[in-house]
Amino acid sequence: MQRTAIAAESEDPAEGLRAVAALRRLAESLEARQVMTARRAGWTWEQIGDALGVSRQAVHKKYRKVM
Amino acid sequence: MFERFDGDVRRAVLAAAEEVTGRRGDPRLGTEHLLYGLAAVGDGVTVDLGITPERVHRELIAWDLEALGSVGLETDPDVVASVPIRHHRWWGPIKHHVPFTDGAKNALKRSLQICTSEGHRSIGTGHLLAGLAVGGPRDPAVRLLYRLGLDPAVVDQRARASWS
Repeated sequence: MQRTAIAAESEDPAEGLRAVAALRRLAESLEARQVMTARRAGWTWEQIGDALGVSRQAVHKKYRKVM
Repeated sequence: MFERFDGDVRRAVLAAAEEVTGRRGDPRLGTEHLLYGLAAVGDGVTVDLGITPERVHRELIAWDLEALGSVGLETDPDVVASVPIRHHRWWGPIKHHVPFTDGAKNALKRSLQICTSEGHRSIGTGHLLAGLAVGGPRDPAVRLLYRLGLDPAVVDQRARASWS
């Protein structure tokens, strides 16, 4: 963790901001995959929402069309 | 040697740029995606300079990995490279017309200005490339050009030489 903190402070903004964008993209991709896996395993939207820390409506609205 | 089929070229560049934006899962279409679009259309100076869509795509992934590494996050290249579904951050799956970044809008404006100031009637890949090359050191496409081993100033010259 310390290494992350130090690196984040001393970083060239161009690389640091790029890293943030890449992380968001990875998080979105990971979320989509995990939600699909959970749905296939029979999880309800409510259970998925609880696990992600968001509302059932939010996760349903976001993913119902891609399922 | 600039193109007569101005509208077609423009559409082809934008379609390829939009495609790679969606494929990568990027929320907006930026100058780096426009550079990919130019490479994908693959005519004129981009070919001469060796800017291929494969190289651009590979370099975008390498850049992501390096950026993540620079803040202390080691990431599996395969994970970064694979975004399985086209999904927009808040508005659901991408259907059409990804929004542009301000940088991409400005690059297109610059291309049009270059085209007009040269007295050309239609905008071609050379104008688009010149518009991207002069985006300044913080612009993603300019950074990408450096990563591809190209000096943006030289790219701009080559683009301008292509229509003189």
